[in-house]
Amino acid sequence: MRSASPKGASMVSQAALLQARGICKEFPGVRALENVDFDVYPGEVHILIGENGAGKSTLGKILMGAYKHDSGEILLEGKPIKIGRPVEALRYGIGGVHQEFMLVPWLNVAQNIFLNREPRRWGVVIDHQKMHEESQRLLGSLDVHIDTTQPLKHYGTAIQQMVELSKVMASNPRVLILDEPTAVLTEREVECLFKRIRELREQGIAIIFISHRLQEIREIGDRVTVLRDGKNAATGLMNDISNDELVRIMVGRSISQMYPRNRRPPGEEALRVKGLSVRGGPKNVDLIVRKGEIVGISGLVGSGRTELVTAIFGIGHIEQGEITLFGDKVTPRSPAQMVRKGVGLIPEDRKRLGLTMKFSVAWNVVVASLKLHFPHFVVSYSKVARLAEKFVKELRIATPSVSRQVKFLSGGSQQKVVLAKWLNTDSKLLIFDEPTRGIDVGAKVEIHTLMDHLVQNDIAILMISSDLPEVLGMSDAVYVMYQGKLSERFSHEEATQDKVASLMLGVGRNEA
Amino acid sequence: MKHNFHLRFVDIPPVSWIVLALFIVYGFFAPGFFSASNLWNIGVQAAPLLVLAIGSTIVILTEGIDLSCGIVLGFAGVGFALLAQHGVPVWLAMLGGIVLGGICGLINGVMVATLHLPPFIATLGMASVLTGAGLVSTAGTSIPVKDSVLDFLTNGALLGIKMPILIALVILGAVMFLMRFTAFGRNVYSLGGNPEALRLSGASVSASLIVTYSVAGLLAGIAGILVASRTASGHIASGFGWDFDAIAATIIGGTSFEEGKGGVGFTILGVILIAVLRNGLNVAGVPNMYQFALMGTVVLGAIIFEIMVRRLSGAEEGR
Amino acid sequence: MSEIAESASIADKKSIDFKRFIGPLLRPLGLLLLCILLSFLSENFFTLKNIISVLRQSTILVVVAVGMTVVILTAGIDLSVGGVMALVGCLTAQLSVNGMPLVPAIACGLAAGLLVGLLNGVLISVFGLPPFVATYGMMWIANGVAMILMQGKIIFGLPDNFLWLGSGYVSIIPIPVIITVVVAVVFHFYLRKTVPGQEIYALGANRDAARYSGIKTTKTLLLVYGLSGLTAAIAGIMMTARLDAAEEGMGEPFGLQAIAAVVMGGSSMMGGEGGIPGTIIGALILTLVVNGLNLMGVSSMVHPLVTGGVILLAVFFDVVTRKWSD
Repeated sequence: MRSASPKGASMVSQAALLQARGICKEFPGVRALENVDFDVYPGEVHILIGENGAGKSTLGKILMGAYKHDSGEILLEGKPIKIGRPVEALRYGIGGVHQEFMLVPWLNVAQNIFLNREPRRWGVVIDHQKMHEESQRLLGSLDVHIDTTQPLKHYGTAIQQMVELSKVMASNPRVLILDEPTAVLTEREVECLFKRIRELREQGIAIIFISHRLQEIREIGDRVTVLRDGKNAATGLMNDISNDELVRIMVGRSISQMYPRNRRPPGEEALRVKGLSVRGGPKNVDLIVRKGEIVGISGLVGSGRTELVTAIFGIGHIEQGEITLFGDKVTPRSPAQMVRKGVGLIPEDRKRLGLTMKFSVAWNVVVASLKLHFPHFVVSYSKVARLAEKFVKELRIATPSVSRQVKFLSGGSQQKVVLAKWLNTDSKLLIFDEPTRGIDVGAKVEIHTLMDHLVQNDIAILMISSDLPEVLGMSDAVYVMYQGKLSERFSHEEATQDKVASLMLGVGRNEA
Repeated sequence: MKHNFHLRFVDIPPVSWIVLALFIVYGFFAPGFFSASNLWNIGVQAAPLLVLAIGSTIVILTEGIDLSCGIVLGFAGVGFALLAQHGVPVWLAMLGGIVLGGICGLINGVMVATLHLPPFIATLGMASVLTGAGLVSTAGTSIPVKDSVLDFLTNGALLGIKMPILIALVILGAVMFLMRFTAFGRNVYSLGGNPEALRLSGASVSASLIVTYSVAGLLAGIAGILVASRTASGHIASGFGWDFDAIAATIIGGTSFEEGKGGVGFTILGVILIAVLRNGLNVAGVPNMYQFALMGTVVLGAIIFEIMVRRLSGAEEGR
Repeated sequence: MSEIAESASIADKKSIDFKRFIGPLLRPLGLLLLCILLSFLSENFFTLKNIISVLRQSTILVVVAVGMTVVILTAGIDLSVGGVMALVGCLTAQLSVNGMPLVPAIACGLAAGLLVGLLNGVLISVFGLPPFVATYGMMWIANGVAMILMQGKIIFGLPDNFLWLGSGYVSIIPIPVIITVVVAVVFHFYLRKTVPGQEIYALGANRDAARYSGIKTTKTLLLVYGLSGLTAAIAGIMMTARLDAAEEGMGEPFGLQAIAAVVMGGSSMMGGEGGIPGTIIGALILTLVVNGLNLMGVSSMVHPLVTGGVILLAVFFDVVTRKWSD
């Protein structure tokens, strides 16, 4: 489906401002983008949408110069350009705001905005006064009024994102690329951002808006391109495509296939949390997970969910509250302790926290259960290999051998290795933090199926997910976290998309 | 949105309390302590350490470390003495010594930035190599230097302040200026906080790192000249062990090894603590051989104290 | 030396990465070349007597380096080993000369070394001090205590049974060599074949992931530094026994040389890779280099230069080959 040129804002020329043709990008073990085409016109907001791992973020990074594509070309006003670094992209007038902020924590806000572009007096001396004035102005146009002399670290993620945005705006870009900008914003902040985006659109700036949240893109988008599994899936005018169609194109299969449910009624309580407050995290949390059920916690990035589960796992500082695990009261002090009690955590950052990348599959599968399998102290490699091979077969981990370093595996297989690690122990409660992030759709289904099997065998699962369909599809019960406060418990039937989505954004809460 | 404005309170380094406590303790036990001549003495002893520690601080801010600065100090002194011995005019010889320090720093920087050696191995290796080179070139002895300039640098005074202290303070002021008002300072902080951000903004991470280590080397060279002036000689071991003091002063002063937090200005507090400690032990007549162990213990203790206070005040959020 | 010995535990046995294959072979090859070179410098080199003499000479370094290997595997460093050697050597010498029987004296020395090591461990794992700061500080303290003990004097005239540890033989093998072999074998087995050993590799390769997998990181770090202190203690006792003397500066060059030996032996400063066999080769190479320098009449003042240069070259080589295989 080739796109028609966007209607709307008066346009001087019909030519696309920025074009990408045949873009390919590979990472070790993963083909992120395959022959992707994309273009954007001045004065339009072009939404780039797709599931987690579809490649939209990668494309955005390539266009803004943070990554280099393996093949294909990028054209600015019809002429091919080479962008090696973001600063080069900026010189062409292409600016982007990443999901991971490129900011220095202990420099102050103004210093961050003007990194390497500080206003100078007499050529050498940095003019702090001017820097602060300009920063205030830039942030003010986003309706953000803060003290720019404070170190960046003092501010939360939402403000930091605004700082990142101001940084880009300071160089007056012609193309603006926003990667999941609303992930950390409240409804009011989103409104403000959208207002600014509309203003920029009026000025003729081309805006690429990367997201996977259907609720918002309809408000702001003129055109939309869907990526799936690293390839173009569809491109068209926003008004011509309905949300259901978008979902279908994004996901490519029906809901029931994606989220298998073969549940039995849940058993006794595995985990009960009462009045839990974590330092630097959520406060006053009440939560119950039963054996044989999946409990999902939905919420925006930065709402405090990871802090909650890592505290339960023994990392982080618990200020007050009670945790009861399988009927016994427990004070989590370290992961070692919680693992012994039968808890396993599949972390959000699987490469850094879930796996030891340069070691083998076999090694990673046994590392949490060494004492269990080798109570006599001495390790036997053949037993390790045997155990690993058993899991590779059972979980269908794509690897030529168990001695292969895990860094060469695909995201989906890596996640399965992490899961195998815990299945190798006696874990009865498994905590999944974003179980299918950065994983292709096929593997997603496999992991969901595995989770379904696990609860059939009486395991209790606590799942954090920012993927609303995943939460709604997989969970037997749903909680929503918003700015450190956990909602009440909703059953699978009670948790509708609208209700959960609005709770995620803080709408309709009883308490402030 | 979180607006934490605890800046004022958290910013007073806990070490200030220790220094205060020390002053009080010494006031009681060491009668000679508060005399004007002793206090000047402390200052003069502390001056080279301050210069050295400033270099230490900027390196640590980039999440690196310089374990060679003590030896570079001695090496610069040796270079200066040898040049002077061979007839080079004293001022030029001093410059030569300082430049020598800068070159050593440059090599450190290249090893870390271009060859990607871990900083503590690179500087440890450098220290070892320089020790050997220094020993060989001086046959293990110290090279005497005689000149009235040295006397002025050590005992002279300008504006009522003793020269070494004046020099150290001027350098402190200069570096603080650089840190706040030039690209150099911004680079140092960025290297420690988020080098990726620096790279993406178009600056060269390698070049910034090399410059940082070179400056540290220059500072070690200056410290070496100060010490050589005082002892009227150049000896490779004249700065032996000073790297620990410099690093300790940096940490006690509040500069942390993570994320590039801290600053050059605070290091002076750490230096004062160590200098006061040493001086107090001397004045109280504690024999030299006990000082090693005692200094090590107290300094480690002060570092631990600093870390615990930071942790308890919960200042580190978001990790 | 097969690749398995070089890389950690059960990792990737089948990696046919050419460069990684070359690396582990380079060191034994270098050792061989060095031996050939030295045999030209001195005709006596390849005699049994000389080989045993060189082996005996290397024992102290090997023992310290074995402990250092364990520390470096966790991506840490122990700069205090020189000080511990001095402390323990002086302590046991003092006790022995003043009448304490051999076994209790040695026990005290070992306990002292262990204590220093554990203190290092506490500073690093509980207080979060960077290893080079903590161990550097402890080095000053250990050296300082040794100074206090010795009051500037040197101790001679140790009892015979003490000296036997240094110069005795079992058939033709010197006692120090036996001690060293035992230490090396025990540690090698410990690292590669036991659960705690695997945990040490885990810690070094990725401390956070190890913690998240339920490994007790604090305990393991304490253990690691304790072991380093212990081996340094053993080395100090061996040195005292061999020289029949103890003085406050006796441990001085060994700290750096131990690091050099470990890095030369292929262990990565980033942790998680390496092992005892490599370290032994590294220690032998270093001993031979020093041996060679002495044969050529080079002054001992050059030694630090050589050691430093070796460390830098070895780490550079290490970093470069690791970048390739990444």
